[in-house]
Amino acid sequence: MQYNFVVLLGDIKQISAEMVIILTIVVIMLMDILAPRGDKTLLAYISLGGTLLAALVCCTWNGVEQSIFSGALVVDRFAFFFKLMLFTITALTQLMSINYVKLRNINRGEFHALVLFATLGMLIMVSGADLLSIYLGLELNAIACCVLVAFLRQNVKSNEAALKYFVLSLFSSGILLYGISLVYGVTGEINIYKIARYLSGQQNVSHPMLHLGLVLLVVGFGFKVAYVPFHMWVPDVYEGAPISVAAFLSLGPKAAGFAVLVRIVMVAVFTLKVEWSILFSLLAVVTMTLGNLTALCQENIRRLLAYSGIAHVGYMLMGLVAAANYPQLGITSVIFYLLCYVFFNIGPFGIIILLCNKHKICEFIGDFDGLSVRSPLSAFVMTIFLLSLAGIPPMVGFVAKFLIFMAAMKAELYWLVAIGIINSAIAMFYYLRIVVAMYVRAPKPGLKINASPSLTIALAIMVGFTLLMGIYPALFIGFARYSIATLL
Amino acid sequence: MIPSITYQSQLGFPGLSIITFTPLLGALVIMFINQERKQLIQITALTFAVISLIFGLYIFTQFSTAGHSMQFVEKYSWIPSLGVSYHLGVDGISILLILLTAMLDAISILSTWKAITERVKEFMICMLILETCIIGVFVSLDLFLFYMFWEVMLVPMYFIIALWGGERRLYSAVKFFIYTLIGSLVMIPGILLIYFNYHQYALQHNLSQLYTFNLLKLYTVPIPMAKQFWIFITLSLGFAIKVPLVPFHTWLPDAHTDAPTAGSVVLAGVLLKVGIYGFLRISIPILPQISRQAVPYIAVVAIIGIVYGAALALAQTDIKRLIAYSSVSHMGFIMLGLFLFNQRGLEGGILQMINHGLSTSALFLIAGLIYERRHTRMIADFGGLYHQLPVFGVLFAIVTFSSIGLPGLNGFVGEFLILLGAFEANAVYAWFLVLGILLGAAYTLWLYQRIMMGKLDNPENQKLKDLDARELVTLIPFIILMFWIGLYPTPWLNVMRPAVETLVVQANRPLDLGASPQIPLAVEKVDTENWF
Repeated sequence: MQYNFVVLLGDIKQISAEMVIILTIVVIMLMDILAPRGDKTLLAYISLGGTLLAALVCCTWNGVEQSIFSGALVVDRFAFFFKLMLFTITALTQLMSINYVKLRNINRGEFHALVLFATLGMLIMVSGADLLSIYLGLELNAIACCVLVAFLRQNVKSNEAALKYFVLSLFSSGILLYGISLVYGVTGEINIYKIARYLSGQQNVSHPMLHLGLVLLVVGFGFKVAYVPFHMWVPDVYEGAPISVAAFLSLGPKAAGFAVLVRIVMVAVFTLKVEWSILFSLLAVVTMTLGNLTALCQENIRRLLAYSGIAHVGYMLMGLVAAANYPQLGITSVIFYLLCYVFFNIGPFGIIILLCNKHKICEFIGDFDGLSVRSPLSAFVMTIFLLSLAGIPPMVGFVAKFLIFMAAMKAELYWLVAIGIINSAIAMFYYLRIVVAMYVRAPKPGLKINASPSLTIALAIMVGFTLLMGIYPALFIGFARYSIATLL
Repeated sequence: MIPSITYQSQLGFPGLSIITFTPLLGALVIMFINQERKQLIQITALTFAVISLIFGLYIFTQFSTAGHSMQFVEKYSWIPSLGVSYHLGVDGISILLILLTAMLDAISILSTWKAITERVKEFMICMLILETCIIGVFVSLDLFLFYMFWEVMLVPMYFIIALWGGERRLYSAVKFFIYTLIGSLVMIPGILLIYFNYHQYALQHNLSQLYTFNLLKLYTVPIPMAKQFWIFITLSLGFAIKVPLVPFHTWLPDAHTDAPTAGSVVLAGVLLKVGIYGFLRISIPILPQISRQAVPYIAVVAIIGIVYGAALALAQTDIKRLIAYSSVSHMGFIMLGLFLFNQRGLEGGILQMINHGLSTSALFLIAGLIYERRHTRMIADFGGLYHQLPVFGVLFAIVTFSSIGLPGLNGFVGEFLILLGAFEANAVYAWFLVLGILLGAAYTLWLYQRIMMGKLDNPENQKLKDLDARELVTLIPFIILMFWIGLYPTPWLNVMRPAVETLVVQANRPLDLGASPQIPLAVEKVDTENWF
């Protein structure tokens, strides 16, 4: 087909949600320049409005799946699912940021624009159909995130975290590019679907260069998704970055990275499933075990959440391993996990922000001491998030974990399930520590609850979904199944 | 998406849901009451617990002892893609346990009127949520639903111990939580093995439903022996920790000792029964063949529990710890009765579940009453209380006799039935049971003697007041039921009989992997001669 202006317009129409984000960024940057002094809170609301508008526009998608921009991007259900998830993550981050940026004196136009830039990068990642557009999105996201991490300019930890993030991000991009070039060298294609077609036409696909390329891709995405041993940046970044940015990083890049990973392993190199399932099963074991064991001995609440996040990636990888033999159940479990993880993993960050004020930020588990006396409601909400992280019903964390175990059992990965269960038990210890701090320990003077309407709304949404999805998961499992129906 | 509804309750209204969720509703209501208004909170909690109990009693009057099927069934589609449904129903076993739960919860809420003065709001919320979860376990006919209730149960119990407990409450609470959490996590693979076994079977036999967690359907499906072994190991570990069977019992003395009175009452009264109920409702009917093979092992563990628990009880100096170890012993007794797989053993075991629920809860209430007066639980601090507290002394004596199985009281009936069953099955077991009864009499009577008899020589004990009306109200229902079951157990046995008959048939089913999926519900008439 000849690529002409009419086709281009049609393609642009397909990415109208992304266009809304771009327009919002432009508006924010212009307004930032035109009104150099004064309160930037308006910009925060504009960026939030832009995200919600983009989500609405995204929902008007008519369900027709097609590849656009000569196969660089693809519009399909899978991307639709992840786009909605990313808009949710971004909107929650923005809601949590509105008051927090004022508190930390970083209420600048760039902040709001950069969050949207990072989102844009992830949107490109999840709908990327060839390895280069995926790389493009990944880089856009990485650079924006890096600046966001460094946003607390006066803070040494923030700078250190940004530097670490930046260096590791560069490294992993290099590795990823090398992997892409190797895959291209063997198959002669960079489009995921064409790679799949090429490989399925081959008699013997076990080409050592292809294997190496696959390993390098897994390493490259490992940085985004944060599985061991590519997780080193996570605790430092969570600790140093502004808290709402840490919340954003704990999910956005992870979700986008998983989307890409699923697209690559389930479509492009599905023929190599024996190889990558072994690789991922090893990664899953190491990731969850190391994540949980390290989380056990953390005193800093954000480092604890970082390691707990790493452990959760391990559980998700279990689902990915199971997907080698049972794609439907395996991928459903992974993306359902991600979907509900949005709510109960960002939630604790919201509570941490709630406990911060101008003079002191909540840093240690000790800062939660006696929260149930000072603010019963926030202690209750935090308990719900923690129990959900630990996988206790009726919170959705249980259903998610149950689905992952179900997929692994169906694939007869009994040893993996056994390790997963031991890990779940270990994880309970450190979640319980926070609960104990909140309910059993005597309250400490000094830390006050600092609730703002936007933060309250965000917390209410998150706790609502954590319970709703746990009590009636059918709807959301159905959505996850629908979204992968055409991918596999 | 509107869930499809199949609704077969003979009541005309969803009675079981009401019993289950009334306490939860109460908890929600209490959340909106100002925490300073303690009295209002207490009354609200009691009201909702009593409403649940009243519905339970009403349903009990409507319960039919004629059929072998589940009654008051409610079934709604819940997660259709996984075959999960909201499926409730009761038989003769579970309805008794539901009544026991509702009663104990109402009584224990009443008993905390004065004992719990701090964080009354949170306490009542925990108690009510706990009641919902326990009743939920007893009414679930869907394995997924069962597991959900099973696991949520830990959370309120953890808080009850950790927040309102004794000196080492945090240690005990965490120990309880970790133990039972590991138990329930280990059950997940077992449950999933059952689930996927059904799936395979459904594919082979072209069944319309490929996936289900419906227990009644899972009962009909044979499971290969190798799989049964692993399922049994995983499930039994979860149940055994809850029961608790030796060697998984170490959480129990700590949890019982450090829990507040109401917590101990619910813990001893019904929470331990949940583990046994798991064996009855899941392990035995789904895995009958391996369960039969496991009898010698279970019996050995149970006998060790009986003797070891009794021996430890003899050596205790703390009243609550003594009662806790006596629970270990009694639980072994009940397990042995159930795993005889004959009509009498099962009937005795189930009746003894109720009996133990009554007598041990009453003992914990009594320990709580003493503690509220003297703020010590050490046996050595007491002596000769009978002179000071005559009414209390009489009630304590009745409870003690009930616990050791004196004829005319409830404990005797259950123990006697278990003994009959044991002699029928294997006389060696019976002799160990007799030994357990003897030891039980020894430590319980000795406890009574050291506290109530002798001289009232401790000056602090000379000022104690006898029971007031509220405290009498908490104890009288126990006394009435103890005499009722002891003197005229027939109605209770009649209620459970059909369910026990079904269970006997299920437990003695041979393994037939090619069998068509039909359950032999038409039971042969078992010898149901009335013994009392």
